[in-house]
Amino acid sequence: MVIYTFMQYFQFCCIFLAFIFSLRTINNDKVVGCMKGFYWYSVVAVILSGISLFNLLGDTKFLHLALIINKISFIFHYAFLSLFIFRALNVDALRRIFIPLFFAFLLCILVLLFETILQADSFLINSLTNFFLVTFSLFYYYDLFGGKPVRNLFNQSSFWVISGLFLCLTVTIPLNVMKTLLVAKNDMSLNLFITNTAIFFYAVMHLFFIKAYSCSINPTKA
Amino acid sequence: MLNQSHQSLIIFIIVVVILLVLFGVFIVTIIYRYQKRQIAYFTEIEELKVTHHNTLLQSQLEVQEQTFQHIAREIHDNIGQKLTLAKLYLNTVAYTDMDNVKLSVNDSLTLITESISSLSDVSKSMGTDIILNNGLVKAIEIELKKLNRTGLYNCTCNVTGREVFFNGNTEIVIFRIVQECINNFIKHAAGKTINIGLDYSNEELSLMITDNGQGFDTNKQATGAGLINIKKRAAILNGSCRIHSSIKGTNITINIPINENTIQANNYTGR
Repeated sequence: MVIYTFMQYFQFCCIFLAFIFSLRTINNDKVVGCMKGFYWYSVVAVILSGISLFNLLGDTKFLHLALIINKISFIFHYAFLSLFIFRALNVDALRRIFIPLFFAFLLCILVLLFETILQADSFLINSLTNFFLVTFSLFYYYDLFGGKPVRNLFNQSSFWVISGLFLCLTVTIPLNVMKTLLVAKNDMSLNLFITNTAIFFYAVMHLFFIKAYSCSINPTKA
Repeated sequence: MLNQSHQSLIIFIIVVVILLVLFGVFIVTIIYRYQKRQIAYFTEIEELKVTHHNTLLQSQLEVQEQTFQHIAREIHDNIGQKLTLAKLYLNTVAYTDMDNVKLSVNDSLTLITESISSLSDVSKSMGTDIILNNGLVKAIEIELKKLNRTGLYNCTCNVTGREVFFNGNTEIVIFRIVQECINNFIKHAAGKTINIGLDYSNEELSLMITDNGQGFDTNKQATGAGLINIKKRAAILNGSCRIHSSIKGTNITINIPINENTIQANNYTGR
């Protein structure tokens, strides 16, 4: 439990740090196209992380509300990051496949959300959302190697955002699946261990976002 | 309890480190492969640039060679012939017969005058002053006026859009293209009218040369030096050249991009 608490604080710190960096990009004309408005993700993340920390500190009055907000946040998480990946794509053929897939996946998520909105268990919707995002991240990597190799990846904001996302998702998907199975078996210590790992990688994803924010304003110096 | 917590922490750290290392390898591999492709791509681009540059250089040399041949032919076939004839007249003057002397000298004078005129024409058509001083449109109009004066042809020039003044070299190359087309028309087309249209837009100049000659088979004639020269000259200016020909006439369309490399700095010379 100590590790869990530490991870929650660590996650909040990383998200808050990313949020601080994101402030530089607000109303900044020098920000590269795909990063315009990306700060909203950090704003929402810092609010959600704050709520999570608030619940951890013992105030369980808003636990039910927090659960609903958390579930709705999956739609935001999915839609926001999918659209970010879409904006980062250059190959038209991929963009054409992307749009119908995006709406089909969104429909799946919405159906699942309304089915399970009052259930405490959010593993399934989390896994599904992450799986869809991993699919879109693969689109990006395909686009990266399919098009002309003229980008400088070290200074490419979209590369760092999507790589951070890809890292977080590829780790959390199998963990979520395992967690679902382990919860069924009531193995709480392993369950906690998996949660900690997921939280850690979610925090690392925001560290990647910090790199992306740094690249977004002055790519040559980042 | 403490041991169990310790154990959990150690396992947690190990798992996290392994995952991070794996992902680090993944990122490094992606960047490495991408950069490898990037280096190959830029090398290829560089090679293409060099090849393109060499081709252009070769084209320029060929065009220059063609011009020299034209001058040589003009001197040999026209001016040289006239001067030889004049020399022959003067050499064969029979001084005893004054009427014959007068006739020979007058004929020689006529031939020398024609030679000077021909030399002047060659000089004018080869020289770049006419273009640099008057601009492309005016130079083309002067060229067409000369043709109209012969009474054999009906030549017109239409300009649409706002005229853009290209830099000197570009205007010369465009003018040479027009001259080559006119030469082809005179030599091969057996037509009466030729129309030259210049359409200036923001992005490009469309040069359309249309005649009512007998036309030619574009597939068979594509190897002719004149057409090759036109295409090469268009390529020198990063332009494109389309040739359409039928028994009703020939239409040559040349598109030349207008950009900061091809236009004059102030784009107006006051001419």
